[in-house]
Amino acid sequence: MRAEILVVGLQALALAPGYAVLSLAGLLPGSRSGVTAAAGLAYLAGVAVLVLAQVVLLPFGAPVTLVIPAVAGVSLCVAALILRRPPPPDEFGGAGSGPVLRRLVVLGLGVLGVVFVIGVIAARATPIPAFDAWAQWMPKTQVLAHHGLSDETLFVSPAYGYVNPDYPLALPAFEATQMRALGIGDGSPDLGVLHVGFWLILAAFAGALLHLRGRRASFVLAGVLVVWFAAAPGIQVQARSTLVDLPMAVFLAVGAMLLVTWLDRRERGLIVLAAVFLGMAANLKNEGLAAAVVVCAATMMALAVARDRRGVMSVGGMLVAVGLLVLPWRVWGSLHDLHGALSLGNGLNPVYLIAHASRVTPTLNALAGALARPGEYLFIPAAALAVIGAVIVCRGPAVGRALLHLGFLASYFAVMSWAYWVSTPPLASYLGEAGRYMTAFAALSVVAILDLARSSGLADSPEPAELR
Amino acid sequence: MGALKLFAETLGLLALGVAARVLLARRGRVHTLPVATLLAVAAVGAACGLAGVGVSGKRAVESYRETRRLTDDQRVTAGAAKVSATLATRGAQDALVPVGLTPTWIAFVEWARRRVPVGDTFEALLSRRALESQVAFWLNWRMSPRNAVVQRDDADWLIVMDRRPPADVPARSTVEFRPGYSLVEVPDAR
Repeated sequence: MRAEILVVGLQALALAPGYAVLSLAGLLPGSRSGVTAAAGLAYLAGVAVLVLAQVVLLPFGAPVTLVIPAVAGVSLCVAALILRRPPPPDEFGGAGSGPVLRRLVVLGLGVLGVVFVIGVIAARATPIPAFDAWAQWMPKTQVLAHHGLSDETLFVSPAYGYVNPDYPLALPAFEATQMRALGIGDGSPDLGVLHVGFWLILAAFAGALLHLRGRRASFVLAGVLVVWFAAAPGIQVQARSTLVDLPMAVFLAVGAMLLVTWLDRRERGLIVLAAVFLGMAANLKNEGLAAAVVVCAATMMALAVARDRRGVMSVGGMLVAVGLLVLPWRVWGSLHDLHGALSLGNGLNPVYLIAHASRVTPTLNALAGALARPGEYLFIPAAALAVIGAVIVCRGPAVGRALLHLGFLASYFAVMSWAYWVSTPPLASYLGEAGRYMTAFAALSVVAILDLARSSGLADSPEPAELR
Repeated sequence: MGALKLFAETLGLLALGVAARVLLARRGRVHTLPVATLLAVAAVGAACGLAGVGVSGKRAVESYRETRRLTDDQRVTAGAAKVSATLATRGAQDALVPVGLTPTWIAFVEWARRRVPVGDTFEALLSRRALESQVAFWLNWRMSPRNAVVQRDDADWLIVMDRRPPADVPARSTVEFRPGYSLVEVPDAR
C-alpha cells in the first residue's frame, strides 16, 4: 500500500503546475470553492504539460528524468505567480439547486470513489493483465526509464516488430517518470502500481466535466453522466488494463469539451488549453492524433459554414499547435524509418481500398456492435445519438451544436473504420478488441450530452420552456 | 447487425424522450423534446450507472480477494491471464500463467533476467514449441530494458529455451538452469 500512497502523492504534485496552467490561461476560478471544483481539470492539465515537456524533448536526446517535469512545473508556477491573471468573469460551475438531488449525486460519487479505491487495490494485486500492456507498452516504459531514446533497439529491431514502434510515447514517458521517481526497478512486481494513474485520470475526468458543465447544465445530469461513464464495464476494464485507450479518450474528450466551451465564450485561454489536451491525446496514441485532427476539422467546418473567419483561423492555429506537439516524435520516427500496421499511402490508394473492401462490413458491424453492447458502454453512445437526434428534429437554437457533435462522433467512427479497413494484420486480431477502440467515442458521447444539456438550458431548476 | 442494434437503441431512447415530454405536459410541465429526451436519458443513465457501480464494485472486491495473497513471483506472471474470468474456476497459480507459457519457462526467464546486466543485449534461441507460444513476447517484456537482437554478432548473451545450445559455443560460457534451458555469454562480445 505504501507504493500506492507514494504514487498518489507524486501525482498530486501535478496539481500545482495544473493550477498554474489554468491561471496562465485565465481560467483559474477566484473563489476557494471554484478552485476546489477545478481540481480534476487542473490535475489533467498538469499531467499533460509535464508529460508533453518530456515527450517533446525525448527525440532531441533528453533522458527521462525528474529534472524536466520539475523545471517545467516550477517555471509554470513562477510564471503564474508573476503574471497573476484575473479569474474568469463567469465561473464555470453553477451551484445548482435541489439539495436532496444534489446529495444523491454526491452519494453516487462517493460510492464511485469507494469503487475506485477497491479497484486500485485489486489492480495492484493483478498487475498489467492485458497483452498489449505488458507486451507493447511496458517494455517501452522500461527502456525509456533506463535509456531514453538514446537506445533505439526496441524501436528498430525486428525482434520487436509487434510493439507498434510508431506509436507515440506519452504513456511510456508518464510511467517511466513515475518509475524513476519511485525507484521501481526493471521487472519489479511494483510496476503494477502504475495502474493508479489510470484511476486518477478517470476520476479527474469526472471532476473536469463537472467543472466545465457551466451554469446552464444540470449538476444532477452532469453527476449522473460521469458516474454512468465511469461505471460502464468497458471503462472499468480499461482502467484496470493499463492500456492507453482510456487516457487518450479522456484527454480527447476534455479537449473537445474545452473547444465547444470556447465556441460559446471565446476566451483565448480555453482554446489554448484545448490545444494542450488535444496535443496530449495525439501524443498518447496514433488514433488520438487522428481524433484530434477530426475534432479540429469538424469545428473549423462548422465555423466556416457560420462564416466565422476569425474562428476558423483560431481553430486552425490550434491545429498547428497540436501538430507542433507531435512533430518531434514524427520526425524521429521518420528518420529511423519506423512503420506501423497502417500505411497512409495504402489508405488513400483506391486500388488498395477496393482490393480490401471485404474488411468493411465486418469492421462496421464490430465497431457499431461494441457501441450498442450494453455490457460495454451501458447505452451511452445511443443516448448521445438520441439527444442529438431530438435537437435536430426540433430545429432549435442548438441544432448547429448538435450537428457539430454528430460530426465529432461520425468522423471518429469513420476514421476508426478506415484504420481497420487499411491495416495489414488479419481483421480477426482487431475485431475482438473493438470495444476498447470505441472508448473515445463513449467519452465524446458524454461530452455531447453534457454540452447539449448546456445549450438546451437543462438546469436543476429549469424555467418551463416553450413548447415546440 | 451492430449498426442496426445501435439505431434501434437510439430510436428507443428518443421514444422515451417523446413519452417523457407527453407525460410532463399532462402534468402541466412543458418542455421541449430535447429537454424531455435529456431527462429520459438522465433517468436511464442513473439506473445504468447505479447498476454499473454495483457490478464493478463486486468484481473489484472479488478480484482483490482472489489475488491479494499472491507472492511477488506470482504477481509478475500475471501478464496475459484472464484473471477475472478464470480465477473462480481454476487454481490461482494456473490462471495467472500467461497463455502457452509453462512454469519452467517463466522461472527460467526470471532466473535469466537476474543474471543479464541492464544494457546488455540477448538473442533468444527457442524451440518450435516455445516459438508457437507467447514466450517470445513474454521473454522480451521480462528482459527489458535488456534489448533483444536477431543477429548473433550483436548479442552479449544467448538465452536458450527448450533446446540444445549451439555447438560452436564453449562450454565454459554456458550456465545451465535445467537441461535444455541455459544462458550463454557470447565470447568476445564485450
